[in-house]
Amino acid sequence: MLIKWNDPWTALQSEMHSLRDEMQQVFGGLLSSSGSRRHADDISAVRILEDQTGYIIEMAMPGIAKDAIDLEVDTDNQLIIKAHRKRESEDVILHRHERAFGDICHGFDLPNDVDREQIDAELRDGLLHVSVSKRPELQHRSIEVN
Amino acid sequence: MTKSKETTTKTQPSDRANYVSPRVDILELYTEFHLFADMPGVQKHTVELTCANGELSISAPVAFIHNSKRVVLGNSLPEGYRRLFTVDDTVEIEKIAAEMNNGVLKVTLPKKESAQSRRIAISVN
Repeated sequence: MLIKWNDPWTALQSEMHSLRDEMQQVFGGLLSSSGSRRHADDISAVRILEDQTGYIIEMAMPGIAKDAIDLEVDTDNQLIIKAHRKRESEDVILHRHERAFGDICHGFDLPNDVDREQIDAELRDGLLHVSVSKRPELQHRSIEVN
Repeated sequence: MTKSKETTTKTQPSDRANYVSPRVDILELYTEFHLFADMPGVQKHTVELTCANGELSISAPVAFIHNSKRVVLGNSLPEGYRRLFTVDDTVEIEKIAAEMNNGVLKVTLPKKESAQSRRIAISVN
């Protein structure tokens, strides 16, 4: 595993999910949703993928506009992704409130084989795709036998 | 609408076994309800939204575009989303509308006129 994901909330979320699962077992259908055994994770669920040329970080950013997302690489070679999610409407009766709002901040320690200048990001359908290229000289190379 | 009464789905297509419930907010306004469902990674044209027999059903797959790459960390993104809601008879079923924006599905459920609260103006002499 080459990219380390620094997320202080992971352990806490894991405990909360475990507690929620236990509660769902106890209360059966009262707390659970129909059609599925488990809920989607809170906002900013993350998946990291790799191939020979680089890495892709996929992060859920539902309802967040492109302008509300900031990416930077600091001097410690950490990729920092910050975003803010604003609630659509405040002055209404809420019958159900499950979605999370507010600030999101994730840090990723980039491995030494990446090119800091070759990081691109695209927001598509509420999913942020951050593409981090490996340095060409360190990429895996196949050698043809003549 | 909707106490969002949770019912059990009768049949689960096997290809949707890894679908999860989207997180939702349900808001009530004077003339309608708004249902917001977080479904990041879902493309608008793949959303299946139906309303029949007093049940509103939402189902959609997540469109992964990097399938050739190896997952090295985190697998918290689901294959899709699915959820059922009970809709009561205060909702005008024929006028339910939906839109998808930045991975959030917004469903508008207008109230029947008889179920709408009425503002009463107070005149001062």
